[in-house]
Amino acid sequence: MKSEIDTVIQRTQRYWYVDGLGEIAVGVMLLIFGLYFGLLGLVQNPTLQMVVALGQPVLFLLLWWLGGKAVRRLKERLTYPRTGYVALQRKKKPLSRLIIAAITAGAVGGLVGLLQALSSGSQVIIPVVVSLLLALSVAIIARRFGLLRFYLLAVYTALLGVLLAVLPISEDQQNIFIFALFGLGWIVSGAVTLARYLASTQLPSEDGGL
Amino acid sequence: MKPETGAANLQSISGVDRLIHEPARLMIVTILYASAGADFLYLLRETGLTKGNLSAHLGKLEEAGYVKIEKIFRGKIPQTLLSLTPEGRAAFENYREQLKQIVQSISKE
Repeated sequence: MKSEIDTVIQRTQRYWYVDGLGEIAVGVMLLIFGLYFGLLGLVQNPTLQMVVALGQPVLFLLLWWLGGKAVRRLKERLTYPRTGYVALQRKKKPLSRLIIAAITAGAVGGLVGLLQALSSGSQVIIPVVVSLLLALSVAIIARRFGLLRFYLLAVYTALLGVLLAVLPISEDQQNIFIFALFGLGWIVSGAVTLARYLASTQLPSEDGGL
Repeated sequence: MKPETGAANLQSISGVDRLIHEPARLMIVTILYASAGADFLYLLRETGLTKGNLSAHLGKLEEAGYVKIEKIFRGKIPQTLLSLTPEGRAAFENYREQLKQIVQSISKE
């Protein structure tokens, strides 16, 4: 049974998600990735194709950095003046956990690669596996922070993967749609949360102090 | 309930940190324990206390060395940032452990 203390701890830890801004940022990032895959499909020149493909990690890091900066700035304007500021606790992860995470990431990457090699010609397995892994990650966040809407996002992600697997579309189109539609889901979820947050809170007329 | 275990329970209850045990302060300390710090406005909204009451509780916690109070500027906006000191964190963990033991001993009887 969850105690009142545990409830307060969980509510404090999920404060980052209260305004939906983080979800919108992740959604935009995924949407851009979808468009990027679309661009990759359009490029015919092999050299240019390689350059665009190599730019993938750079794009990811750039978007992650820009997204984080934008979210922090928006929170300072919208969230903190309304409902206050909470500094996230950044616990140092022990080396054993980092090793386990690296092994898991490697195993998942290997599994996806193996499935890709085994399912040559079949476009069913990859979107299903990718979406189920993403859905699982989202469900873990939902459980950890007690966020109902993240459970809905997890279901949406899993269903999206299955739907894209059975649709008669090419592998390139699958890549575009899986990122773009997953991103749209996050944006919608974040936008609804933001609208509800703004409607239920207001800027205080005078600032609080001690 | 055996009289000796009842007395032991009473003794352990009386041994808990009263500074943290007070409901409003327990909520403040719990919030600060779950984060690296929070501002006055967040605590005000979450605890439902008045400004004066919250200030008084924070003053007591600061006096005990459990809470650190910093006045900072976020851009041009002044902000009061509160965080638990290592002593405050240890005191809260100790309080939680004591509570757990009391609940366990009561449920065993």
